[in-house]
Amino acid sequence: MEIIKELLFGFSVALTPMNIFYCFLGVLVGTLVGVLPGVGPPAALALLLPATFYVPPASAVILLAGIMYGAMYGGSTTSILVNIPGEAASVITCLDGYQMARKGRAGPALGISAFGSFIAGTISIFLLILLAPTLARFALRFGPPEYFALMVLGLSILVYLAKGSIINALIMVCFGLLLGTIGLDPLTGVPRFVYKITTLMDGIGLVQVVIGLFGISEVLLNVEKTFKQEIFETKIKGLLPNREDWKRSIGPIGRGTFIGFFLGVIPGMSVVIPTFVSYVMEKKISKHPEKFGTGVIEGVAGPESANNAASSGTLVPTLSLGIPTGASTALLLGALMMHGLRPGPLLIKESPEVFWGVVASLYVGNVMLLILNLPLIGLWVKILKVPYHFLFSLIVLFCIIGSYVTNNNPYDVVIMVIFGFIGYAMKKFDFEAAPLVLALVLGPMMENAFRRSLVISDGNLWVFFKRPLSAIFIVIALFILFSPLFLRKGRLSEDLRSD
Amino acid sequence: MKRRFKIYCSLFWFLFSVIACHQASRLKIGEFSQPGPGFFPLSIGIVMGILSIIALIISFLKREKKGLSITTEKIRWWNIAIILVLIIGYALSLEKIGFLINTFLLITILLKVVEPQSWKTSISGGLITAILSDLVFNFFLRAQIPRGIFGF
Repeated sequence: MEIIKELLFGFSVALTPMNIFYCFLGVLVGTLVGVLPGVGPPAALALLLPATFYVPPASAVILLAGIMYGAMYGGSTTSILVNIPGEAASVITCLDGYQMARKGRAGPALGISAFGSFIAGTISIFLLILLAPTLARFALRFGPPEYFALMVLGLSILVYLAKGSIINALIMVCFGLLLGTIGLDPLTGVPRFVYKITTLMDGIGLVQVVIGLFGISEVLLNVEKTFKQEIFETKIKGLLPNREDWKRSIGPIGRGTFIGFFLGVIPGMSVVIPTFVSYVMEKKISKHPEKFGTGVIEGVAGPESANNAASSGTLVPTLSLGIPTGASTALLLGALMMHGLRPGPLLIKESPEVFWGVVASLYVGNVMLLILNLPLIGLWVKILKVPYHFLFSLIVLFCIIGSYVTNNNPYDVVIMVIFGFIGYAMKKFDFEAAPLVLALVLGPMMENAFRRSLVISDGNLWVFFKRPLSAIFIVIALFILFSPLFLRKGRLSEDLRSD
Repeated sequence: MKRRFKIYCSLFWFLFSVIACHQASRLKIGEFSQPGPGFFPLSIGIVMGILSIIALIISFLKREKKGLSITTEKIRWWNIAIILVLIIGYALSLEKIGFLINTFLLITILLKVVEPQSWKTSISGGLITAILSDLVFNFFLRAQIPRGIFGF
């Protein structure tokens, strides 16, 4: 009963004209970002973050969350129609979605993708409502060792899942943690690695790092070679899936929802992995696995439901524990902090309008996306035809403005350029940006928890193993990191065998 | 990736970790029971150094696959350099020249130089973008981006 009362309160926040507008803006920008290759949700969130300074915290988070799940819808449209995944979570949809389009079944593919996303979004909101407050109440028992151990676990999962070498991913984590120490020491106020540069006093800005790593680096990668833009023309007819399509899709949608949500809850998992897990599972349990990749609707319904459910799942640790699961949720957390809120177990109690408002807005946004997306498919495809020289010029301009307006400081733009080049070099040398970003965000929190743990234990490092929860987190983290040494198809041994 | 590049990468990160440790050691390290501001960065620097040595050893042990290279296409370094220089120039001159003129110049040069367009396309693209973005950011979003010495 209490939950229904709080959810109704959330709807009273989400359905104010101002919040409906911000929700609409969020899902619209999100869909656009999902459509356009090269601008992922983290870069879009970073660009719009400064624009949310002047709006109430609940509206700011509603807008930013809208971008996150809106991108999931947009990405599927271009994956199906033009075989171009607008963002990573829609890569797997290309396999069967595009093949369906080639067979003249673009309509049902788009339809099931939208309906599947809507169903997954709706179910995962209820799972979020059930899980987040419970987790927040449970997390009130957490002390510094538990927090430190949980963050170690999140980073370990991200490192394990990062593509390429596990050692490279760990080096990126260290790099991110070191970057996080720049600025004033949170416990003593001593400046660290500042070298009398005023801009560095507050630390390296997350917005500048994210825009550089995800926005500028992508532009540099695209302009270093001749850009070829190929659009496959296809006719879209009959967006509503038929009875047979529904019969074959309902199972994958259900499984995709639960896989997406529960994997999304795990810090470090992001929204990409659940789509692959869902696809592999559907293929494994299918009576005709050989048909996957030739245009079967299950290959679209499962992953598309999984990515939408995962984007709700990522909000669970972000809003209830104050621990982001990836770059996008890190920025969402940044927005909360910029508005003077304390992300963590007390957020739901102290700022119920933010938590319940955002939860209710997820539902409002999903309805908007369902109504908006199907009629606007033609427009999104037209946007893809805009020549890249116009697109990249605009992306560069938005990146500059996004990093400048955070503090109205031109040197923030210089920092963005530096990270743009670092991001470019990282992509060239097979280093992934996600572990760096998450480590940069978690760094100050981790250091704080680590030092406090040592102080309360009088310098005893066993404190992390003496407390049951902390010990469980650390043991799982160690198992994840060292499992490649023992498992036959391990990542570390892979490092030794091949690229 | 070629083994040579992997070795260079590992050496770079090792050097970086050495510098990080050196800089962290200039801060107060403290003790385990009372860690100072340099404790955490020093610990991370050491871990990073160990990881880069492991990466270096792996690079030496691993056999190189034939025919693999970073890229087979010629990289247009000129484009990358122009974009980076233009962005820095834009940022550092923004307060003096102002948003409108700076944006016009940035977009025009990007369109003319990076993926060469005609002067007509470049100038009109620059002009339209500058006016529209000024309207959106300074008028609608009130982002307070500097107007420069010319006042617009």
